[in-house]
Amino acid sequence: MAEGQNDRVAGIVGTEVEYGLSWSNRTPEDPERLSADLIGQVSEQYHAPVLWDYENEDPRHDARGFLAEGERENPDDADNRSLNKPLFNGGRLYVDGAHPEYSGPECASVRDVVRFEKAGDKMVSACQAAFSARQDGGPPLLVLKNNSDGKGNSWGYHENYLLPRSLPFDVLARNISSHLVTRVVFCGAGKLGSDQNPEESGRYFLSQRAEFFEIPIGLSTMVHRSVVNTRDEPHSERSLYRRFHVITGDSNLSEISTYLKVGTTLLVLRALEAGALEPPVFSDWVESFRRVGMDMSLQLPLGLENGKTMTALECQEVICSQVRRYLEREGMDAESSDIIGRWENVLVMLRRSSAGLARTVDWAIKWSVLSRYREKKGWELTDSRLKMLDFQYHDLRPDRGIFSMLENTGQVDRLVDPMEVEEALTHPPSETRAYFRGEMLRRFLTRVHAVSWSSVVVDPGEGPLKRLALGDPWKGTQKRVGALMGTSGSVGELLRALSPLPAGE
Amino acid sequence: MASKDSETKKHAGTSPSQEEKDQVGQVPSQTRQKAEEIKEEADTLVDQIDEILEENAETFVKSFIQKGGE
Repeated sequence: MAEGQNDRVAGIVGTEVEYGLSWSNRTPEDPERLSADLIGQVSEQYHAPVLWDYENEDPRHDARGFLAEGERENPDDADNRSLNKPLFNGGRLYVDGAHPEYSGPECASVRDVVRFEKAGDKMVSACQAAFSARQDGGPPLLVLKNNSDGKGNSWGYHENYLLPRSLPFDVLARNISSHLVTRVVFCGAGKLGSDQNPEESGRYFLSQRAEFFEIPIGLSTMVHRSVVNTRDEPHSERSLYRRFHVITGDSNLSEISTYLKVGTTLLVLRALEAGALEPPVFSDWVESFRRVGMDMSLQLPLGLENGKTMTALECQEVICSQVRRYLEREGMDAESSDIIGRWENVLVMLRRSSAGLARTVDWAIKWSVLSRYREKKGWELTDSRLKMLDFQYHDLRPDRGIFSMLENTGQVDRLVDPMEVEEALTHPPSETRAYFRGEMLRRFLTRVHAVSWSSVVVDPGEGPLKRLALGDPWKGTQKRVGALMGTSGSVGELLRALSPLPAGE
Repeated sequence: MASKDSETKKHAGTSPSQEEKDQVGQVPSQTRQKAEEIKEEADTLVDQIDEILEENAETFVKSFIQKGGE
């Protein structure tokens, strides 16, 4: 992994959020169309009207060394435009199957990951408002940042971590599994009622997603979901990097939960990469994940390979202390130090009770609200009005979302300043290739034909289109290309100056 | 809770000193104040939720069906 600056974690991360849609007039007989209509509302301030470049896209590669069956995607120009909204902030708003999806740009700090994900929520929320305003007072389209409908359907939240190809996949899978299984205790989004077992409709779950997992390791993200996903589409130089695709996470509303979810995983991956991690390994990853996901008592024992048992919290304490030792040996940048401190603190709080986390951890915030409201009303946990409250916690409408209300009235903690989120709506992060992608769109829009994670296709004005490869996510940073981009009067001049693209750090 | 605590203490001693009386008087009033604050907060929260919670909960919860994603 390339070295970052001293004040933050080294590593590149991006997150993807799929949103749930509900519109009572048109319960989605055609969710793809509805999703396209929604993202079609995105403001010109945020969206650059260029094509998405599918040339380098191929999600069929499996990290275990084979190519899965299936077609590569390559829509015609009209579909390309309606399904893809490349963004000035370096990210992408698009339609993925039945859902609108926002992928934030590649970030080199966890704080930036939080900031850009929050910007995505704001952008989609603005789309929702514009869409509903055109419906002549009919029922509004609801956009929920959650992961299940309570009826057995789940949609995703995915994290992507850039890792060196030299780290063997089987070592990675084995050593990361326990963290993915147990981090739920501080980053689950919580849900009322099981998606799969009607007898559990009054139970409060920590995880929205855990119930949907079936196998320990695999490629698919839609059926037979796996604790460790093997998609091997690095969106970068294949011989150097892999992109570790994590599909077990819940979408979080709490900035602190997102920060901990991504930050702890990044630190665990760094320790793992350095060979400094020997985590306890569960004998059945899927069963353990499901048990953690449904256990608000945090007391359920999970079977280990060595025949002993351990609770999720005990496992987290072991992993966290190993990471702490590694960081103390290696030296700590400011962000790593902040993350490990918060991680230790949240584990201490969990030992006491979830009440102490009612301003920071999504499942605990939602449970605190649900239980206080229910107590006052005297309703059963199976009451559909409480399930509505659960759904509405994730509602992106600023005036109707329960989380929004808690945030606006100071009842939950924030991590980033709202002004920083505003900036992330229109400007890319500065420390990765997302800077180059976003700034090309901002400065030379009329000359950009298409973009993707690993390319910018430009029209030099004469001759054929030129595809600039962004094979290294560390190249194309503000530090290296910012001045050049600022002084180049034309794309031609810039292309001559940028050959080859200078390294980021 | 608060009043029960203070009753227990009153019965425990025969003739409490002035200092003890002060303590006895103080603790419950603080606890009562805290309890009232919590109750007020809960009331406010309930009002805040009542204001925004969708009214057609049952219909919504039933009709919210998604295709799986990713």
